Amino acid sequence: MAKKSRSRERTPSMRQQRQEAERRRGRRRRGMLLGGLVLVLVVGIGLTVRYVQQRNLPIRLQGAVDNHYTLGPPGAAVVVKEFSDYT
Amino acid sequence: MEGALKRFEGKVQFVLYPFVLNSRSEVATEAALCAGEQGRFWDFHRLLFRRQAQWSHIVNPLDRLLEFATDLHLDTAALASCVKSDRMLKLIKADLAYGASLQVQSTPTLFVNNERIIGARPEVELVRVIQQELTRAQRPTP
Repeated sequence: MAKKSRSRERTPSMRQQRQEAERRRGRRRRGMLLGGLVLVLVVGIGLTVRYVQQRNLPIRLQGAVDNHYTLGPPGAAVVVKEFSDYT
Repeated sequence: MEGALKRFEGKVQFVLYPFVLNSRSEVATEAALCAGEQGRFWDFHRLLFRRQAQWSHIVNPLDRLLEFATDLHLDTAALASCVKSDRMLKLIKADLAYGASLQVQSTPTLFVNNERIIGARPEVELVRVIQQELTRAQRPTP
């Protein structure tokens, strides 16, 4: 017959429980901080992309009026170029 | 857009770049450019937007577009032959490439001189940007 084990399962002391809770809180706080940082990063990238799209492109817009349907006088002070799709 | 243009008649030039996003739009653009061969580009262009619900969901909308051409009293046989020849595709592809070089990714995208405007905007905003550009252009250079 197998000998009955004398070792008893140890229950964590109050101090250990406190430390564990502290660790858990710390992990949660770090997780939230990381999530916040990722969110800020994503929003930042989005805003940067938007800014780059919106910025002026002075040189690359020159020309390219030929062979297109236009309204208004050629050589006007303001030229509006519209890229549109029918659907 | 045309409302804003009317307001600045004689001071602003409007240039249209078809920016085709799908095969239905490609056929419609070809048809509009082919209508242009008969001197009716703008009429056809306006009709395509006005009657968008009648054709834009059809996989091959050419027959429906030819009905529009009939309404405009165009030579439909010539228009159909023009569209089927795909001779306007070169122009369409060139505009797509030009748009891509300007980082156009969605429609409508407007450039008022060099000012980029993405998405449909209220007329009042377009008027404001055009006015701003006109003022800038009229300012004497130092």
